[in-house]
Amino acid sequence: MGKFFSLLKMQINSQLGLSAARYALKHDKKSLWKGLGMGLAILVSLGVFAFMYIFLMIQFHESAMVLQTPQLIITIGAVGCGLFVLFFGIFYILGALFLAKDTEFLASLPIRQESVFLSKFILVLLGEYPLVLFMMLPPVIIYGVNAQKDVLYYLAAAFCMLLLPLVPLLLASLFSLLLMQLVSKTRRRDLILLIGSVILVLVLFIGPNLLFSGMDENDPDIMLKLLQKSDGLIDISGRIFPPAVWMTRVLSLDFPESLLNLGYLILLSAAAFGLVYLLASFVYQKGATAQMESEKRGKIAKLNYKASSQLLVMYRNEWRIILRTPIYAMNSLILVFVGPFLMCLPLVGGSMAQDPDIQALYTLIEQGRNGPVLPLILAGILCLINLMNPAVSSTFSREGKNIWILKNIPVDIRIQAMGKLLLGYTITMAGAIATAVVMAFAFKLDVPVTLLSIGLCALALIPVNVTGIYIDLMRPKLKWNNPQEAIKQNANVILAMLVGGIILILFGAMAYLLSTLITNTVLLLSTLALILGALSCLSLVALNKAAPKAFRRIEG
Amino acid sequence: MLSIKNVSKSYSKGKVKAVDNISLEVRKGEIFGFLGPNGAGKTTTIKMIAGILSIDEGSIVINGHDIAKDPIKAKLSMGFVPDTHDVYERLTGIDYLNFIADVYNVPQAERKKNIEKYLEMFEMMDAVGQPIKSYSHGMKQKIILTGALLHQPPLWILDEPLTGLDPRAAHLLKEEMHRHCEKGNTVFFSTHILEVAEKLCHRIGIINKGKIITVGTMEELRHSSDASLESIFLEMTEEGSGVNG
Repeated sequence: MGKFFSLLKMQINSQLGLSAARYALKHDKKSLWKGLGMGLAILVSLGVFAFMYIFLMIQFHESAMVLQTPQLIITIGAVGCGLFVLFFGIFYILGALFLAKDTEFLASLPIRQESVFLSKFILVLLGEYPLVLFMMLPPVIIYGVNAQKDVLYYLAAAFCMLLLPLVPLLLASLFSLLLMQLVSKTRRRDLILLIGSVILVLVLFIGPNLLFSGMDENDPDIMLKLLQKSDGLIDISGRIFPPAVWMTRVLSLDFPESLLNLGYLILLSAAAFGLVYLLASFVYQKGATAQMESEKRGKIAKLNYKASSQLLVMYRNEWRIILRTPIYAMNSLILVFVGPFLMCLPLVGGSMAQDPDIQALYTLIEQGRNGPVLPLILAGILCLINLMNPAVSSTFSREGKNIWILKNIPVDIRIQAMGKLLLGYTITMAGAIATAVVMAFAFKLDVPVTLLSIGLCALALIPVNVTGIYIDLMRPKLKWNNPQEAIKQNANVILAMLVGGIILILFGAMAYLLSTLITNTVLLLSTLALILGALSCLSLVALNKAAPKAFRRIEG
Repeated sequence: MLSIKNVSKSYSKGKVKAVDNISLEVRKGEIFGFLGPNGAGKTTTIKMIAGILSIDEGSIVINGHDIAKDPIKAKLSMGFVPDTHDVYERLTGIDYLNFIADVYNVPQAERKKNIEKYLEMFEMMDAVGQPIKSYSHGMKQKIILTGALLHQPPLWILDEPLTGLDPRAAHLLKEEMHRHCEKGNTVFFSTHILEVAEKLCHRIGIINKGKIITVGTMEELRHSSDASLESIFLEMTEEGSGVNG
């Protein structure tokens, strides 16, 4: 046990940079304050999202009160939380367990493989608690305050929140362990890992959709039966994640039912943990070492010596690295294509296709077909979805220790930055086009409207991407153990998202102002395109001016 | 070929002086050995020459180009091998070499000739199509060396170039260093293997605690006796023996 705790302590220390922070506290207070200030700025910015989420939850609580099931707010929060943990957990777990740079080092230590697995699992679990707090505190407090609950309720809620991410994360671990078993048996490991994780993500999201699509929500008899049963709505809402139902019952029912449901929650968590831990003790090492083994090919490869321009080679090099690093591909590429598909899934023949609200939306789209509003709104949606892509805002951070190559090669940083920007822009635009096509199909949009929205999005995303690359160039996160950290634990990605969001809000405000001044659709859209084009050019010029100074400051 | 004038570099906002006002002239046609104990400032100096670290004070001129003012031309004049084996592990060897050839503007015919020359020399032809992550330390070093030399730069900057190389590859590299210098080019390299420095270098510089404490040929360093480089090194880098160079 001593070895395990020592390992866990070391991993937490390394992950959170505790020793480095302690050192900074003694010797370099300025950098510590800088880091804290940056963290605080991000927290404040996230406060906007927290405010929106709390507002949404209050609204939901009021509706649930009308249905006499105010505790539904906890079920919904817990289901959302469970799905988030599961979705992101797969990437976190794969990154931490199998793709981290310390895998080889840890394999060389005289520590049992299940201890290594457990320490890494706990590390990922600890990283999930901020998300759990973010998503669960508002529903727990809103319900608790309204129902005038006592201290025991809050203690039980805290205990349930501790248990909540366990099951989805264990499920993610189980999938990852099985996937890595498969990967370890194949020759093209990176490719299989990539395809496997896409399939996993799709299965995870198609599953719940299928679960709901079996129920006709517009059937009055079913709805009546659900409402007549005191917790019918809770049952159906928690169908995809039973721990959410148990947590709701722990917090809303009296003794002994509450204790019984707590027992279910503990039992399922313990059983899932036991199963995954047992499996890990047999198969973890094999999957982890498979990634270290070489992918040597039998025959000698045909060598190609074709020359290309510096800009093109920077662009192509970025592509190769993203495509051949599963973590980068999963985060930058897969979400771009899987995201839009999953978002529109319920609309295409799924449970929501016959929803009266969606039908009303179709009517609205039909009415706005010839006006400027539809392409503007669509362009806004395309921009917002692709704002989340970290391909641009982590581009220099992803270099990690290889930054010496960029610093040493005789290529002007402006060309390097342009190559990287071009790659990120290609990915975000590919995502925007994919989203636009799926949306055109789902919402029955015309080709001109779709093309206009893609065009406006293409212009608006240039300044957004330029800002992202500049933020990462200013302060790249070059010291990381796991490529996942270069993206998921990179403040630049969040900051770029927030700043990009502000830029898009300003663009939206500008479009609204213009629409009040110009009534002609063609003139309005042309004016907007011209302004966005000019701003794009300005942002590129600004990047060209600022990049050399920022690059000089990087000392890898 | 390489001129370092009054160069200083500090870390932690000036609190730690890693390199303290050093000056060096490395001539055309010579192999210059750069020695020093761990943490003496060797790698910091080399990284400043390579344009990886910025220079706080002073200047470094490579083949007539100031690395701070004209970094692109200065970098085109040198081939750099770092002391680590960090390289794009997800690329294949040939992807990496083509990338380097492209950024150093090496024409297709020349790149093919040079890449094949070094790959054959390092016995890497069979492995060059495989991902770099499958390479051993020595193989990574060989691919980095090939990348650094393939554009035939007049100045080679090599930080611990022999680390990880098998005896045959190390021998061939040393011969290549000689051939390079015979053509009027220059090699600036750091090493901890004093026997290699003693036999290979035309001149040697020793750095300690950020200061150059001596520069000269082996004969000049020996003064009168026939002391080995090891005893000279130990004597000069002994605690408290730092002398301004």
